Amino acid sequence: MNARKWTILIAAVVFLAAAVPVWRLQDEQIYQFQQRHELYRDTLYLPSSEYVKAVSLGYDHFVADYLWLRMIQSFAAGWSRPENADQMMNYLKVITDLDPNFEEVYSFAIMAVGEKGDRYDLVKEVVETGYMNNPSQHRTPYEGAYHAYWQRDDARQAKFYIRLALHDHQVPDFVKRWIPYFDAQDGRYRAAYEFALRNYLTMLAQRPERAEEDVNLLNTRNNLMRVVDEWIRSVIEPQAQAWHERTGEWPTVEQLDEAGAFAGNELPDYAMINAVIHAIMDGTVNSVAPDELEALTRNSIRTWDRLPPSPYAYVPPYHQGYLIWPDSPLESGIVISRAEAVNQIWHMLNFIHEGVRTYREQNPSMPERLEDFMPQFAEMKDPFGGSFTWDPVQGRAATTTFPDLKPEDIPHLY
Amino acid sequence: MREIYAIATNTFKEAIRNRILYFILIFALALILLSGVLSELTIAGRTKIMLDFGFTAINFFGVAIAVFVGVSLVYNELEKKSIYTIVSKPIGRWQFLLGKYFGLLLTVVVNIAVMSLFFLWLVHYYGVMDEKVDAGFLTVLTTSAGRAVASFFWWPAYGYAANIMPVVALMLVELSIVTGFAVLFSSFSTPTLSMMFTVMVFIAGRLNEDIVRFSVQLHDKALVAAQTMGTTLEEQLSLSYYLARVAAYVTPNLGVFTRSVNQAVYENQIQIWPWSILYGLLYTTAILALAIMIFQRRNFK
Amino acid sequence: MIDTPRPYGMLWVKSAGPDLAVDHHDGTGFMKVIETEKLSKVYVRDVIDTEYGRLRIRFRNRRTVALKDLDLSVEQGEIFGLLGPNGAGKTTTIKILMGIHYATSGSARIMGRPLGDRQVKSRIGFLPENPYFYDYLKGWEFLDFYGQLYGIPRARRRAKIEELLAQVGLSHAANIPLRGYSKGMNQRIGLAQALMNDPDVVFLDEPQSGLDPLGRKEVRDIILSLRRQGKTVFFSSHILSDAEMICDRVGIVHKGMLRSVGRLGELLSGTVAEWEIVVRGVGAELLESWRPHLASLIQSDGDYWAISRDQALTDRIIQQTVAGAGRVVALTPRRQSLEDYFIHEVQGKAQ
Repeated sequence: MNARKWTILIAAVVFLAAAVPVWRLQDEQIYQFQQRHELYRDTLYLPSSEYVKAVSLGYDHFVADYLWLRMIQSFAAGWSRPENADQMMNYLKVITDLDPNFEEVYSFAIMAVGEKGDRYDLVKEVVETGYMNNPSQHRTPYEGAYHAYWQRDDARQAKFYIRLALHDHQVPDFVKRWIPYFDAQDGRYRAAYEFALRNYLTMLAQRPERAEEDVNLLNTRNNLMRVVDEWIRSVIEPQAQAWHERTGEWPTVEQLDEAGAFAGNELPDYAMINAVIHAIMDGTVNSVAPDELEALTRNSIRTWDRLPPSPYAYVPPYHQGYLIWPDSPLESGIVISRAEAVNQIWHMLNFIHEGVRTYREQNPSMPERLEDFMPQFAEMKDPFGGSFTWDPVQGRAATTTFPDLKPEDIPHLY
Repeated sequence: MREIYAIATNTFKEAIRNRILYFILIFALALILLSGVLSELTIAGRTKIMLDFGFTAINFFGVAIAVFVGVSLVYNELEKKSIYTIVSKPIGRWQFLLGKYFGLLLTVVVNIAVMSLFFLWLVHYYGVMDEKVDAGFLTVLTTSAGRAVASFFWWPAYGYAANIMPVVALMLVELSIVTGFAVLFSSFSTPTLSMMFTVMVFIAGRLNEDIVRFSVQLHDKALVAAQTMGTTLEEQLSLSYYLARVAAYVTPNLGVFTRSVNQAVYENQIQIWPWSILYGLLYTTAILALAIMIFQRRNFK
Repeated sequence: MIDTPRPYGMLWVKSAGPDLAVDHHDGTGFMKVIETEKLSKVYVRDVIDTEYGRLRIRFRNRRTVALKDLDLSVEQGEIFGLLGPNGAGKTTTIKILMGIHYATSGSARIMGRPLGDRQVKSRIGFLPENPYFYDYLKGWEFLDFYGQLYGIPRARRRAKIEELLAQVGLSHAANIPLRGYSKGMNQRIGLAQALMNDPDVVFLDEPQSGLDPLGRKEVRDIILSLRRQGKTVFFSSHILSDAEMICDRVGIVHKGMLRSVGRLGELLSGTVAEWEIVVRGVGAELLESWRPHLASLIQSDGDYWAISRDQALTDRIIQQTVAGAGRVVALTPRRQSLEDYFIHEVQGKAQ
């Protein structure tokens, strides 16, 4: 072995002698670092956006993307907590200043500072920034509206955001449909109805070839029906409450109607609207001119003496109209349409059958009585006043109102 | 022309036989490849992230090649005295310098072409585009190149894949300026210094619009001060205002060439401002003329 | 190979007109290929003086006179050697002639044209001192590059490259990158590039420095073959023995000034200055009779080594040695060498 080989050998030994402890120490450091609670708080600190922009040298997008990728990782790792909200906001601001058109950041920001950070004021700031940077994009205000309504129960703010979203010319129809929804939630049924009707009729006039298969058209009509439905229910509900307070009993809708509780209410004439819709669908009327549309919208609302027919004209007569459900598990005396009530029963029966499956996993035989596995249904009355029954031989649940309910009997409302 | 061609091809040979170029290229291709990988990490904006990373890699490493390879090219000839034999040949010094410049530019162009083809292929591979996804790579390439040419005639180019080439084409205009500076500085300075100078000019060029903004701020402040104190505006304008103003006019406005990235990512459509190309070419011409002026008067060591 | 001198080569360079050959005839029968007139070069360097004691920094120009009033003329077909110690101004002269440096004052003409003339440049060749060449190029690529700079058409270039590689003995290394070349090979490929355009005048700056004896001989042979082809060679050197062997005329520069210039025979006295005689088997009394007249007399190994400065004395020594049954081992007439002259010139002028 010559000197050169010796040198190499010694160097290799020295390398290993140094590298192994270094590896071990590194491992220790990483472990300790991971133990630290403020992992992300420390590393995610950023100076304000002007400085970041200055050092990004025109590679703004790249830096924004890099920060974005980092941010979503650390947010996923539990950094997004209320106490970090301001810092999160700073981070998000840096990204949106670097790349103002990066819409996903705004959506994400609404989620982060709003939902996780629990700061409504910051959400408003995000939505405003997002809207100002991208005035012709619907996404940020739409997400803002979603947050405002679902998280904050602020229908008014939500509607304002939806109005901002409508500045996007290519806004999808589902965003438009939120306007009547929020109006209805806010008690502004008339406004909601007018918007939804105008929206639907305009759309119907420009309908595609096979209108009955168009999902958007269908959704818009359902939306209209929902508004009418809510409106009618909003008229019935206070009357039912008043009756209940007066007598201690829950009335039926028919009782209320006969007592003249609904006289003098403004409600849409859905039979008339249906006729117009069918005329357009059949081609009798080609389209509705804007001023005619305006008149039609106004005239279809009139003052009623008795309760008008339900908007669900296409369901069987038995399912039309409304009822008051005294034993509703949500809230006693809730007002629902009959069609919806059938739906509810179907869901409840399904729930019972689920319970049977769970029961069978723990017991060798079928349960004898409903009380054995679903005690809450034993006492409960269905919306029509019937009781739930259980047939252990056939393994089927039913109600006395509908002893033999089949899927095809369920009215598809929407 | 013939002489410039000879020098340029020789310079190109020198550059492509230089190992450093391949290191840079490998890094660039790795980062471009990373753009595809990273785009899978994100929860949203996948296309955007892929395009951003790709464009940044191409641009950044294009600048790196112009700087690292460029600054040593002229200096090497002086340092190693091969310039002596060149000068004694029937060739003007300006031809030598232009030859060097075009050789370097050719190197940059070839590298950018390699990077952007790879990127285009990657984009095609990941299917991140609104073109017919099942179109073959050659179809995509041809379309993209065709639209790049069209966009130079102010014809809007649509689609992500089609947008890559126009963006790259604008980058080349930017790089022609940076390369010009590399040649300018290396014609009278050492490589280390020229590298620093070139990088500084690049940074200042990227920040050009910020410098303008800064000068406007100073101007506004002075205006307010002049009104409150009842003096003339000129008395209130500080030296830094004039310096910022001079810097704003002297440094190249490289921001003009990076705007297309935003268009490519968000508007899905690119319209090249024709004056920006003219601006880039004229700026380069001016820089080269300056370099020739300096170089022509020099005694070589 | 063409052995007859040609005035100004075959003119495939498009711009070179026949007028070049005419207007430079000075009527003496020789053409002045290179002429300089009061050529001077002063290097000005900015240096920063710092005086820390007084915290003062100032810029100052440091001036170095590299060349002062150089008047030279070189005629067609000769080998002219510009000689002098290191730093004398040889390289500066060549750099000015080649347009690498600009003269501070004075003027110079090559082939009757001012410096920097494209037509002239296309008809000269130049090999710088200690050349570095593009070491990433292969031998033939390297020559091809210079051929392109001269604007030689491709086919002609190829033929010329082959011819030159053969001439400098590098045909085997045509496809090796220059970084694989030895110093001698580098010098030879450098010579080849200087000859790429079949030049009329060749400038060589220290063509033999740093080479081993064999390499120096090769370079010398090439220079001599250039003269056979009728080319003018202007070269600088500080190695006098090489110059002595090949130069027709030399100029001697020292400290930026031309000390003397002329044919070698004129500069050095043509007569023999001394004789070196080595004899054997000579009697002591005979030696004693010579000793007073000799410049030196040394004994070594039974041989006597004598230096005589007198023709008659030399004749007598040989006659007497032979007559006295001794043997004349060696008889070397020694002329004044360039080196002697050079040292004499430099030291003499310096004092």
